[in-house]
Amino acid sequence: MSRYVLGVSALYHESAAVLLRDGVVVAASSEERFSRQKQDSALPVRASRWCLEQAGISMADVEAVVYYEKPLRKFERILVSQLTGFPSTLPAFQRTALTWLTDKLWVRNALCKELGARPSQLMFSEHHLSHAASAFYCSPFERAAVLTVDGVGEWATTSLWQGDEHGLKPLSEVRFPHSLGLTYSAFTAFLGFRVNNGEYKVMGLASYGEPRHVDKVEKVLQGVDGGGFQNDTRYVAWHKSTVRSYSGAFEQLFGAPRQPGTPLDPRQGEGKHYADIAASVQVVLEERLLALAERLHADTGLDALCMAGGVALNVVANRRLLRDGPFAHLYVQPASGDAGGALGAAQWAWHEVLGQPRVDPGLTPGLGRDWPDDRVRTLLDELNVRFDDVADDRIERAADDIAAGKVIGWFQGRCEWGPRALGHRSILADPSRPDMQDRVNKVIKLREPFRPFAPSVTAEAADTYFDVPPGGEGPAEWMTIIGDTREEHREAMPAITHVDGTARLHRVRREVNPRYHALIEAVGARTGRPVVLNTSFNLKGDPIVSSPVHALSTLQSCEMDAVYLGPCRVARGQLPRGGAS
Amino acid sequence: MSDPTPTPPGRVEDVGMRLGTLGQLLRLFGRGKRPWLLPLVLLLSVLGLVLAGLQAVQYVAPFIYPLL
Repeated sequence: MSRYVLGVSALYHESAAVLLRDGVVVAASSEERFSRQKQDSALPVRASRWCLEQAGISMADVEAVVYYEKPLRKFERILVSQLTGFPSTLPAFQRTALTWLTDKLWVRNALCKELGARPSQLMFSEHHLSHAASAFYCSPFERAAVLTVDGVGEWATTSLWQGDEHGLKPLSEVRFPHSLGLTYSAFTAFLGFRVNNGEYKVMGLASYGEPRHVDKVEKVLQGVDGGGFQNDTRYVAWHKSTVRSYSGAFEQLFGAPRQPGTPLDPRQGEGKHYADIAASVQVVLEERLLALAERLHADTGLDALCMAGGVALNVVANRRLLRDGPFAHLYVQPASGDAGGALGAAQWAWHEVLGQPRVDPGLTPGLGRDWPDDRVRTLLDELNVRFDDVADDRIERAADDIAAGKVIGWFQGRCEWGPRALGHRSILADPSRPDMQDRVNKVIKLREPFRPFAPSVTAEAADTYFDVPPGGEGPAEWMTIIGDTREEHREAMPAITHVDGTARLHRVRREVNPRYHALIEAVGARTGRPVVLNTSFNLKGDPIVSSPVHALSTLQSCEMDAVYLGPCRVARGQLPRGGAS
Repeated sequence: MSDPTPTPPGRVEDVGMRLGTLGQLLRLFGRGKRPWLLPLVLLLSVLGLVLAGLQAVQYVAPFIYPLL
């Protein structure tokens, strides 16, 4: 008889639910894919119910419901921090008291009331332990060093571990208020982007700048002997405010912050100044991560590194770690943010509490909701949407569209796990057209023009077009590392090559996603390059689409040319007047 | 497939879990390095129960937030 464990993360950033059956992932989804609230942090009620439905079980069949952190320890950290900073922390304390006493303290009750769990089913992991488990137990390594880096969990902001046949052993940690993740987020806010959402914009902006302010950033974030780091708390405010992450001294150091929403041209004037600051914080982050990696390598003597936590989504730093660091192999949990904590919590319980041996967790890009072909056809009929049935030639038709310069939505198979679109819910186009980056940025994704797009390339052709450091092939399958577009191909693929010549490539293996692989090959047969521009199937501010209705709504709201919904091709002109919904 | 609809805990069970959580909190602070947090936790516990009670009263709930 199969045994089930449900992992849950919630209440801070992106909430999620993951169901394991005998240690293998059956279903995994963020709540935002159901609620349509970007980075929804509410308890993942719908995602949890869907996971159970997917497995055909009820909550009574689940052996353990595992929450990804310990709320009481987090409450302790918040109280201690705010009392230490009294009286300047009084406003923050008022907010904290309200939100915790009315909501966050009672996770146990909420899990029972909202998800239908019994108290005896509940387990609580620790925040960084969940991240570490999600990285190590999903990795292909029998033994590995594990580094988890994010804003903050209970107390830890950075943790070093060793994973082996005995499980995960903690080696050392850096505690709040000293935090790499919060430092990066403070600069994200200073540069006019939304914290917990705009960090990757800072990373993209950094490529336009020169690291002229490294000395100033190092005043905020100093390295210490032994690979650690500390913040000078005079410059930061995250330990005493719930609404502000940097102080007046920080502004004196770097000048006026950029106002959110104002135009940003990173090549000149004020925009260049902010790009230089972004480049500087990126360099310092990389240096601190390299020092941590050196320490971890010295402590473990191992040659493989696993990473998770929000900072592990910094694909530029990941390349630097692999290229300049001491480890030969790297694995990055693709859902490195808090959503991945749900996976790690479940894996921790399965392996380390229930004592089960390691298994291949079956982590594939498509672990979310599926829409069978017949249901898509029926739904389109019900919505009175005309479509071409392309079940037998969807690859050829889509490749024709892309080669003809059209931008298509690709909605095939199960929804992706993690923040990246990996060929299941993607917007695709030909990267060789000079106007394509501007077109997709301005009229389809409605986002900042300086941000680059990613390429998907067949695994067989990846080395021809891109240069990824040795050991980076695995991360490139999940878009958790960048490579260089080879010099001779940069001019030919401007839409996916960033200003510094890099690309966040998605390496597609036939065994992992045969349909998407076939599509890229078919595009290659037409354009001469088996490479497509791949960006997530959503509009600015929306979660990635998860149902055909969301996909049709997106088609209607932007200038995309067509969507391929399973076996159905719907062109813009086929949408009924007044909308599909 | 069994019915996935959750069965919410009863009122007694709900209050019992809340008291259990407060007990864990007191143990965490009392046993750890920060016994000086205990009075604050007790104060917050009382405040929390008052808040929880007041929020259930339709006409009072909108005035709770400005009070804090």
